Amino acid sequence: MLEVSNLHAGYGDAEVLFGVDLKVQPGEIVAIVGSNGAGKTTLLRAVSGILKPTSGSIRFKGKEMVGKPTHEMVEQGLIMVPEGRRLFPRMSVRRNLEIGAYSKRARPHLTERLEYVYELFPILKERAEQLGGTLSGGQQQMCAIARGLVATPEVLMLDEVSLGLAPVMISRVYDAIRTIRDLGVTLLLVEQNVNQALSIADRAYVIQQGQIALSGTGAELQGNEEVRRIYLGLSSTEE
Amino acid sequence: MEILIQLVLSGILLGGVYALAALGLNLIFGVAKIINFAHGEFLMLGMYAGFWLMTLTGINPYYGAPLIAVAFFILGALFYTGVMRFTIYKPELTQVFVTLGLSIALQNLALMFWQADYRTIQTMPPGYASLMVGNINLPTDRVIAFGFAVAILTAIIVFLKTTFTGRAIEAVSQDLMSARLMGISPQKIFLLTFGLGIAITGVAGGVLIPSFYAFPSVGSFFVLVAFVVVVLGGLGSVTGTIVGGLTLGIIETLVGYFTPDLKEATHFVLLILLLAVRPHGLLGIKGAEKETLK
Repeated sequence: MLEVSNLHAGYGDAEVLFGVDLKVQPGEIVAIVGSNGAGKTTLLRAVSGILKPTSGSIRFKGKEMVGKPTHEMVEQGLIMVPEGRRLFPRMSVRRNLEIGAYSKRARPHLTERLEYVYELFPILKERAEQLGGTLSGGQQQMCAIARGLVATPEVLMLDEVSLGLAPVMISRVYDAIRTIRDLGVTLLLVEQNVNQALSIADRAYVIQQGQIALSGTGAELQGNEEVRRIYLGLSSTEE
Repeated sequence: MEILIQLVLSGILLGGVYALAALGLNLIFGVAKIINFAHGEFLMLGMYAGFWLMTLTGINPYYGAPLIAVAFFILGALFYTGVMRFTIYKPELTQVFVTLGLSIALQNLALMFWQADYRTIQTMPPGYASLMVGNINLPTDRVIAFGFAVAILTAIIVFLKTTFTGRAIEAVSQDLMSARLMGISPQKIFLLTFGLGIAITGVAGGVLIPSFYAFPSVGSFFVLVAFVVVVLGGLGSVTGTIVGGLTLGIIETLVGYFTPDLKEATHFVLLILLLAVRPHGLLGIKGAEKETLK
């Protein structure tokens, strides 16, 4: 479905990604984990076209997409929910969700999608007229995911969904992610919250200094003592 | 009492016109975070467009307004694709120099082609120059210009709130990256915003020429007014532009009647007071004065 190979990207002269390869199959949840500054967010930005890759290939549904502008990625169904939620702060929750259906691809499905996300996150229906900037962090995250769903993704990329959220909110967001998978949406998660991400993921990649250092099923990586110690900075006594 | 009503009504008419003259500046700033120092020159060109339309073809600029709008939309689109597109993610100073340079160039081109003469047109037949309501006297041209201001401001607000394209413009103004992730092409939105902003400014010039003289440097008067209106009402806010325009129009008219010498000074006293007390304007968004594209 999504195949990234030998992807290089960076900001100005500072290269961040040094030849990343990864594959996402339809219906999977794939997690990308790694420490701060390893290049996780840069990877998603490059895949979504927000950041122009310097070289490499991004194939989506068999089509070469590298260097295409973000709005063309969106029209193909490759949708990203950015780190830090980034709602439109002075628009109501409803307007935020409606703008999710801006693309030609999503516009005909607006009504049914709105119903769907209101069912998935009932709090958003309650807060529909409230300004995006006035929601709590967890509600903003739900709204950001919902906005991404209104865009009718085939692959939904979530950047650091659990960052800054209370534990109870994190588990609610992860419950929602499972439900979204059941809708037939393929998910690509980038997470610092390694345990959460690995326990939900079918497969996962560990990224380190801009390269894929390890990959495997979520369970494999979660059980791997070396992964925990070296790559993820967790010690076995930490829990 | 009657004189006070007369003054406030005149002030409202002037304020509406000021709001219309400032709207394009604020629209472009709100979306692209670019302060267009050549704004006044586009207004000047709009005034000349109204003037030449009337003198060469006999078409009254009130009827010719759609024509001016289309021509200036194209001009605005060219302004974006030819010039501003290259400065859009550049430091503020680059944008200031480019638009300031353009302002000087346009002023001098106008001077070269049209000389420094003060020009105006008469749109109303003799005897219809003013409307009398009781003992209140309102210049017809001002009333019509005010009508244009109300119509255009309303249309813009409705467009921004209710259409997908209008909301996309709002989205880009609030968070560029999120807007891109929703499938909005920023290039398209910037082009549209510059087209719209300049079209509004051109029409504003066209309906102002019957009540103000046109000359090559008239823009520098109006650009100051526009800055005061925008800062007063709030950067990036359309309703703020209306409030800012009306406030300035009314205060200026009142001060001008009682102490004519201080009329022009009111602009700057208001500006200084506001910057000291409420830098984001009456209805502005807190922090908007520091906003850049993100």
